[in-house]
Amino acid sequence: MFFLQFISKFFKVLRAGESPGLVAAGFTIGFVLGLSPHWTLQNIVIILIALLTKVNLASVFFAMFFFGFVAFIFDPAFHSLGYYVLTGMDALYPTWTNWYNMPIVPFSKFNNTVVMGSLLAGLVLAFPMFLISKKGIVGYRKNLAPKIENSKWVKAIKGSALFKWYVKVRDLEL
Amino acid sequence: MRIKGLIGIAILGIIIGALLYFTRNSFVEGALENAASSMAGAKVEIDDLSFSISQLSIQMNRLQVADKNDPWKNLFETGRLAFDMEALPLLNKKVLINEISIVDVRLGGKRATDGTIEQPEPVEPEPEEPGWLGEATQGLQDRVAEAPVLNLAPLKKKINVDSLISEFDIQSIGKIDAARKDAAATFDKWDKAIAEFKPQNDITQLAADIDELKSKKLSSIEDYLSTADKARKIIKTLNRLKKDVAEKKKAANTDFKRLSTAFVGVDNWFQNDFNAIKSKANIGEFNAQNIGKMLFGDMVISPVIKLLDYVNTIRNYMPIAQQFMSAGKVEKPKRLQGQDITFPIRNRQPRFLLENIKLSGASNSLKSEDVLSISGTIGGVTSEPKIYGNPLIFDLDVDVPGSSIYKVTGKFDHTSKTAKEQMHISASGVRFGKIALPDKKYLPNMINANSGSIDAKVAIVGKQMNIKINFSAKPVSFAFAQNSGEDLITRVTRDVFASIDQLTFTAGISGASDDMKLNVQSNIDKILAKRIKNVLGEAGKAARAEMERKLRKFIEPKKKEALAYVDKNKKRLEGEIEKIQNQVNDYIAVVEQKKKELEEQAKKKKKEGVNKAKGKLKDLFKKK
Repeated sequence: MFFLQFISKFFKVLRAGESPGLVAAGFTIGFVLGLSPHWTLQNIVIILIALLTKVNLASVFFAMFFFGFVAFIFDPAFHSLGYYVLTGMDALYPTWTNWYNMPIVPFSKFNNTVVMGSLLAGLVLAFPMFLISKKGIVGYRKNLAPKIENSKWVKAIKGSALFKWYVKVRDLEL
Repeated sequence: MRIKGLIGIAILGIIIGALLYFTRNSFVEGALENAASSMAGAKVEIDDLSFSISQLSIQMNRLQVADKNDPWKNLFETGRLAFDMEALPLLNKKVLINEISIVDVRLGGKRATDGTIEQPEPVEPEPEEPGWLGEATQGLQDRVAEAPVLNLAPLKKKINVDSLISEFDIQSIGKIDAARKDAAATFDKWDKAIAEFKPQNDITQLAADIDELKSKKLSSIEDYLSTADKARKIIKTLNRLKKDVAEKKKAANTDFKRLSTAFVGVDNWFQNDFNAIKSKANIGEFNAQNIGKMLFGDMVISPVIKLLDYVNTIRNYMPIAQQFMSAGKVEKPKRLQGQDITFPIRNRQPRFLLENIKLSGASNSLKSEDVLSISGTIGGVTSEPKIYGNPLIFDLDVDVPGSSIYKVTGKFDHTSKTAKEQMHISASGVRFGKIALPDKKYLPNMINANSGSIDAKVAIVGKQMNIKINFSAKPVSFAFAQNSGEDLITRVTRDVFASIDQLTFTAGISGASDDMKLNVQSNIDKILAKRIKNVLGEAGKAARAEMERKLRKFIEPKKKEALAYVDKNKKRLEGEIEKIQNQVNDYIAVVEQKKKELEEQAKKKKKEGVNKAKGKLKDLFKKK
């Protein structure tokens, strides 16, 4: 139910409400978190940033769950990328060795190939993801949302007894 | 900034902190119990754990570890146990404990509850080669099984040697085949290496360069110098080639030497087969050596196998450098897990280190007949001995109630590529009491030993073992369980054992885990062997000789063929490598000679040039 609420809230903010920038930023943060397979120090820091800034939390959690479910498909690619960065780039070797020997840093699991690969992929793709999602939200609000709202399918669903019952239950919960 | 978020995080932090603070003892207790139970394979229970966050110290009033093989008994249990952890290493995911003191340490106490834990369904293991422990256990059991069985009946029958051999799984043949396969793979590897090496291409190019040098007409000093430079370059290339060939030759020699030594064991393999088949046919020789194995073999190997099992467990938890270095290097990463890459460690601290354990034995109120009490010190328990750099050492007194105190000292060195374990167990004035022996026809199943001493020295290096056990007891008496009737052997054995009032034996276990040797000698052997030989006469001697001859007939051709194969291919490959080496050396000699000539000619030309210049200068002054 908690997860469904987030989905519902996410679709609400897609239609209207918070600025597209904040929703897209939340979505981007969720995207970076979702790609990572483990609970790591940097993930906790990113979640704290999300909680402390005004980004849309519903989109953070929606993107985190969504990308969390699909990210495993890319694990072999993340592994290869992480493996290359950790072992194939001689210039970075002293840095990794320093980090490996520093306190607290090992909790980031940076020396894990999939963690490193997914974090790098997430960070590199974060800005394009932000731009695409922002453009997508603006486009959705301008073009797609009114069409969907007025489509006969949505009208039919909204007019159905099941939907009315759902609204009743939802309002009861609220 | 989201103020609500900040407040939320603060509240959440306070709630989590408070929860952790108030539940820390049960939380740590539960976590430690779970982790330790899954490691021990049986229930681990901790009573009254107290965890101090400010001092990072843990203490508990009792620790019980159930024996997974006998869950109604404790493997060990302790009284109060306390230790402090170092704070800074925890930030590097390292647990360092300088000292831990444990009181009332007891082994083998009875439990009030069942110590079994529910284990997850074991995953079907992939078939793998038996480890050193499995090999050693099997080897020791085989050596004891080879001892003859006292029985008159088979000796009276005619033995069909052919049928015995045809039904017997001759291990030597399999081992010779395996060694031959290894040889074939090695030769194949070297054939490929030589084919891929292709120095011929380089040599042809160099030969052309050398010809060019030889045919080049030189006039000026510059010509000589540039040609000498070219010769130098050719020599450099040839030297590199020479070095490559030398390295390849060295590696090939090492491989070939290994192959030759593999066949040195054939005689031992044959002897093991011969002993096993004699044992199967029950026509073993009743000499003093075999009698020792027959009488005390089981008694010797059973504690040794237990000890090796402990050593193997410690090797798993304290891996040697090689294992540690390869740890984590998984070829195929598991889904969602990836691969942890290790980097050089600068602050040389292992992930887990328990530097010093002080044990004090059970107090008198806790002592009971079936409980062993331990006191002493253990140092250097670590998950990464290579990083710690010191071996595990222990100096313990094991108090066996009603018997004696056994002194157990040792050093387990896992800091290098090969694990080395040394151990010394000694006790004197021991009240052994009743020592059970396995049921064997005509032989005693119990020794009553009043007082005696034991001294065991164990040295294990990798798979190589050297164990010596000295046992003596006086007075002793022997009890028999089976009523074997009143035949001749019964009368002889009972006569012999009745006359013995002192028992001394020395046992030696040596060799690699896949080629164990067991040697047991006691003061009873010679007396019993002589008496039994008198009874059994030379029965079985002819059958043994025939068996040896026929078994050799099976093994010798295989051995000869394999040795000839190795010898032939070894010579062939050595010849090929030698040929390349000679070719390179010849070319080097030619170019060296040419270079020398060129340098000398250049020198001469230079001198001539200088003289000419001097002459011209003189003429110049003369003219003036």
